Amino acid sequence: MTLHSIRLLRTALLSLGLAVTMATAPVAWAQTTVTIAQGVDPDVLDPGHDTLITSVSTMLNIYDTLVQRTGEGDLVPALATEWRFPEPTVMEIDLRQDVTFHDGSPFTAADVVFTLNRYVREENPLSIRPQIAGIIDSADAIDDYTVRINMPTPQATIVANLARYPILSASAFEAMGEDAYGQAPVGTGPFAFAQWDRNEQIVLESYDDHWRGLADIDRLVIRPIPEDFIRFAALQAGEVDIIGNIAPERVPEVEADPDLRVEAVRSVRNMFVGMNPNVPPFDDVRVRRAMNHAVNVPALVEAILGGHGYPNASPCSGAIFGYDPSIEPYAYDPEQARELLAEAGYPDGFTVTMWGPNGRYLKDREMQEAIAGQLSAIGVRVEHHMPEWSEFIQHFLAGDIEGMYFIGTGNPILDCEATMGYRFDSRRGGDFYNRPELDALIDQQIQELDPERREEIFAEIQAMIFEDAPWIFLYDQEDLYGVNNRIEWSARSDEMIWAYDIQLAD
Amino acid sequence: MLALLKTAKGAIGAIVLTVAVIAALFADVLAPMDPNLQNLLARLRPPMWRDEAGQLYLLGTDALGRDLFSRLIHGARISIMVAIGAVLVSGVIGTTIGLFAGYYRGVASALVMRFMDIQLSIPMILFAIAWIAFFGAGLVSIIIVIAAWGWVQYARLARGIVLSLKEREFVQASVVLGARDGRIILGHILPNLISPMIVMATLQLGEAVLLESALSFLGMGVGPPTATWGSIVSDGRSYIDTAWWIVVFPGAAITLLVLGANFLGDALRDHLDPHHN
Amino acid sequence: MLRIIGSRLLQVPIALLGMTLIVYIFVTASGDPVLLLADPGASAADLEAMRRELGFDRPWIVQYLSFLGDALMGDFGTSFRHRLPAMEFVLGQLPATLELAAASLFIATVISIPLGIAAARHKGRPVDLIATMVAVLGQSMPVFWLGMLLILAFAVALPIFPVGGRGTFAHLVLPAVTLGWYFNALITRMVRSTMLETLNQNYVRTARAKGVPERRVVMRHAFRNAQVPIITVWGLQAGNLLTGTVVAETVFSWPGLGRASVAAVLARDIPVVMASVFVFTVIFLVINLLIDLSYYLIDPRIRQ
Repeated sequence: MTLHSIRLLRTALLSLGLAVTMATAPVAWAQTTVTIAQGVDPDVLDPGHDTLITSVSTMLNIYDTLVQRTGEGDLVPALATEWRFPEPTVMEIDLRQDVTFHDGSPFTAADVVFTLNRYVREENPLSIRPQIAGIIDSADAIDDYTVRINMPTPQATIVANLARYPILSASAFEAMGEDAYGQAPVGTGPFAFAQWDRNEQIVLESYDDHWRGLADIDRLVIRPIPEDFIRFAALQAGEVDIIGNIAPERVPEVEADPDLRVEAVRSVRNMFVGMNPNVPPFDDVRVRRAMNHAVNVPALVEAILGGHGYPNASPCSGAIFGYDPSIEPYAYDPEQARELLAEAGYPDGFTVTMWGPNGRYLKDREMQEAIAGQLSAIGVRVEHHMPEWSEFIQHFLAGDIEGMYFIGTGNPILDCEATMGYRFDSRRGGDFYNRPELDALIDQQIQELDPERREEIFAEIQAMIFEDAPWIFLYDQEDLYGVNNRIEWSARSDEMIWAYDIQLAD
Repeated sequence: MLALLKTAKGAIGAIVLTVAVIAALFADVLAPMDPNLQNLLARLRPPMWRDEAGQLYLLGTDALGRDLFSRLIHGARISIMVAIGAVLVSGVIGTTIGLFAGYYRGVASALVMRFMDIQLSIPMILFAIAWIAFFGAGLVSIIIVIAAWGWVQYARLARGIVLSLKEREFVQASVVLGARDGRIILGHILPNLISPMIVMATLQLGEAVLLESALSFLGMGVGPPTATWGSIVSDGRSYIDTAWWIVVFPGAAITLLVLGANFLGDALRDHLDPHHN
Repeated sequence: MLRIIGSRLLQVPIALLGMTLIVYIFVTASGDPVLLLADPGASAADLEAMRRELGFDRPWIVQYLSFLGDALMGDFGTSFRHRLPAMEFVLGQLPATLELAAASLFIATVISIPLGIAAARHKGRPVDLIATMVAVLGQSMPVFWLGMLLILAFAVALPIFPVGGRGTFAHLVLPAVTLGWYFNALITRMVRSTMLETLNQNYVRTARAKGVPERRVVMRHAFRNAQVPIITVWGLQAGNLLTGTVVAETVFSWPGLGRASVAAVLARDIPVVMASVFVFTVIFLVINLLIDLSYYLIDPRIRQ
């Protein structure tokens, strides 16, 4: 190999590198493009399969739902215009009539029926099925613009739940097939799918014939940047306009920057440390209460979250319906904690495992270590298991946890009924908890259509849970978004970023 | 042996490794503070910070207010244990396999050679991660993974040496005189393998430390609250611009240890085989 | 020559078989992918049905053989998470990794060869000492640390480069330097030592005595002999390159196959893991084959 050929080789490599870079560079930056950075790329843009909150947020720009949740938390008609209940378990819905899908085909009852029946089907069940099973049994079309929904029992939360089911295009789905549809979705939402470079970006273009009218921005780009520091740097550099989950210690930095601001909102997401009450030592309520007394939640929130969190001794987040603000958290009292442990037969404490994810929730690793640090002061020695989210959730869903676990609960319907279903209803999964009295109260609240009476039932539920202390109650997150001042947008507590609300500042 | 210490490389290498081993063995005594002691009011303090009680935090504190210096000293434990463990395991296994592959030519030997070639074309990092996902990320697990990564080097070297030794006169003589294989191997071959293997092992020590810290950094290392140098760096990533010391010092420790091992290995090689090049 | 190629090609199926089998055993035995794919709150019946749909209810050996059969046709199945054909997904992530690897090898070669030559020629003098120190340091630093130091220095303290992600040419620089540094160190030392060896050979001295310009001496005679070891190093380091790529992609949030394949292992996305393993193994084998071929082309003595 001569020097000459080495030179050629080097030039070739350089050109190759440049060519590859340019060919895969992201779409050019246009004036009315808004870029959002999230932590993860969606798996697939099919709500049936991908139920991760960040994916749902992206998909709600592409699809519409029958009913929509506004930023202020109200439920307003979207693809549905009116509804009524001819019987307690039947809902009739009139559909909007001037709506088209991104491919131009008209939106009709057939699409709603197809979508809901697909989500709830028992054969080859989809990931979304738990969110609709037990709420809706089936749907059928009465005519082209009227749909009937059949429920197993009267549902107080049915309207709120309808805001969770993105409506798919039956014709496009059939024509493209399930897998292709998930790669290039067709919806009625304000933004149409344009391009998806996996792990790099999703590009959506504003849909001209959207029934609400044209969005303020022309193009929406969603970039997955898992590394929190890099996401932040992208915001500072003006490469992205909105980032979620900023670290609390960065808040002063963002606020100091004249081009940026912080949007903070009390999240629906409630964090806690669960204890498996079926396995000693947590089968003794005194031990569980002792753990609550041993953890200084306000100090944790202050130190690790920079104060951006809301200590909460209820499983219902303060941002959702059903939350009872009158519950006083367990006092931070290590003395009493030790006494309770001694009473329960553990004067020297005990060793226990704590499972939790690493990198899924804000400061999750540090929280777990800090909590363990506080517990060690009363003699409880913690063995951590902090794998990545996928491994953790697998253990968790398999019921493979004998000690404690650190996790959070989101809430797509802003109603504590969802939390009940995820965490406490023994018939729907309910983690490790099994209390028939609680199940009975949960049933009551589902079917109680009077909101005031429902709140009373929820108060009872929360009192019961508090007494029983199945968790170390922690806090509600405060969702922190970093936003570029060139756009006007307010954060929502349901962790969604709905780009139709984004406007360019003048 | 002492001649080694007269060279700059040898001296530095020996000193570094000795310090690391001492730190690993006597971490509890040497560390000024409990490495797991949290102080939520003293998070992210810079190096040389003193708290109200006058306690000096030599290298600063991390995100939970723990003393970085103490954590580094304890972190040496894992690095040393994994490195020595992995080198021992892979060295013994690799040398043995190489020895027999070289001494007994034949189908088995050829198969072993093929296998080694094939292992070299396998993306070991994926294998390592899959293994750790299967067996969990304990100390033993990681030692096994790193040993699996490196045994081929020893096997190749051993085989090469054995092959050349077999041609040498004194070995041929033994064969002619009717000595049994065992005697030849133990008496003639093995003694000649020891030096090169020690050199290889010392050089591999650095590799092992680098691999362990990489796995640790990726989240595949020994878990919390045990401090490993790689995991401390990983934890410090989000604070890279606000608390640079959490990233810089553990990495420096890794580099120093690997440097020391490499120096010592080079010095050993020069000493034992001055014609090497 | 044909024997070399033939033997290498024979390695391909064996390596692939072995590797895929091992990884398949691990990934399937270490966890139930269905639990990862299902929504929290899925009932046992739902999970069972999902298992049936994805074929997990069959004994694993059947699953593996079925996978093999399809793989031979080029079908690696559909990614559990992404609902995309696994090979398509993997090949989609590959360009980013190739870009990074190519750039880093390029940087490594461009710096190390001149540096190594200079160090050899001026042995003992400052150039040599600095080059050697840099090389030794480069081989001792963990890749992730070097990356973060570079970020600290050239993206935070001096905001010249972006801190991560992929996009413009500027995004490529720090990751490529990070990844290339280890090889830079290795190749520099290799070049230096082989150059030193050859520069002392008789024929070189003869050439000098004959009045051949120093430059020609260095280039034509000495450097030629350094090529084989250099290429050997390239080949042997393919494995290290992959490990370094995984780490560098993580540090810089570079959207490549290294990162994606690790994520797939952790998520038990078996089709993607298999496809990644296949792609990487093929790449390794191709590299080895090219190395063998280049030996053959460069050094006539090997042709015998």
